[in-house]
Amino acid sequence: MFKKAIIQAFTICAGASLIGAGVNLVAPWGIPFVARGKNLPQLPDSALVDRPNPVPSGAHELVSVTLQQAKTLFDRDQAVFVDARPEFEYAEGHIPGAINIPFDEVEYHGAAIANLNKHKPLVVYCAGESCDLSIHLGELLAKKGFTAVRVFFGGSVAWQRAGFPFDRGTGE
Amino acid sequence: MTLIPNSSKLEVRLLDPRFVWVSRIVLAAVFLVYGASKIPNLDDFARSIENYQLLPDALVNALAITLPWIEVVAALALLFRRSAPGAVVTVGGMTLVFTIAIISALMRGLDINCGCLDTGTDADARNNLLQHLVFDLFLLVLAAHVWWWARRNEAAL
Repeated sequence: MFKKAIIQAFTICAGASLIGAGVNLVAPWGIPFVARGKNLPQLPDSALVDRPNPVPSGAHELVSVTLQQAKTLFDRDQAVFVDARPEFEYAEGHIPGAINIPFDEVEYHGAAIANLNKHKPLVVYCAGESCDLSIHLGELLAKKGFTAVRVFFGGSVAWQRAGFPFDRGTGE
Repeated sequence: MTLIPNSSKLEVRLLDPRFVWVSRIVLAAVFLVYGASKIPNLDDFARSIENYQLLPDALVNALAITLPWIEVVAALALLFRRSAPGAVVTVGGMTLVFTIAIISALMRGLDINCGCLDTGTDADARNNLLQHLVFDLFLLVLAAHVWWWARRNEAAL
């Protein structure tokens, strides 16, 4: 009985996986078979020119920035910082001047997104390396036509660890 | 193939085909809903899998694409006598894996809603996981019930 059941189970899994893969190819809700993960190309330092409004090199550019690059953009006020963490975490503290677009409730923040300049560099971050909200929000913004989305994977954790300015909220 | 040398009265009652039908239908309904609700929301589901931080990034989407369909097909297969043994092994196996994933998340103090480490303040996230755990254990009991029946009725299946 056990052998027969295992063969059946294997058939069910294999058949269902094929159906799933097939449907995923044609369905509008399909997703890539292999996620991009955190493998974003890094912004070349040459792109960090000291101009008030650096023009992004390519359309729908989604790249990552290092801690130092993020700090440079911050110091020169060349990017809008977007905090992708939930509201309460943002309230507990965030990079000064960052706006909050919590990725988990992004559907309620359409107005905040609409208010952003599509061609001004955005630095999207969340807590740190272990969180994925920044890359997900970054991908969404790039899909919406934002042309200079930079994901800062180090996030608030690396930022604070480096001792950079941080707005501590009331925690409310 | 007897689990108990002489079928006890309790065993006869528990293996009453109508009672087994209830277990099969409840399991099938749960997995049908589980699977069907995820299919149009693969992005969200992929993120939930990612939040458990158990799989390499490269495998997350493949699992998100296939798992809901395995749930749906196994649920349907549970309703047919001939395919019920394989279906219950599939469903039981999946539930076992979910249970282990939840226990591991609880032990690591993960908040599955955000995939971040729980700082101890978010009791909701923990309770949510505990509820899932209890429900999964209930599903395992149902699966064990159906499997027991399948083994006892081997010749007829």
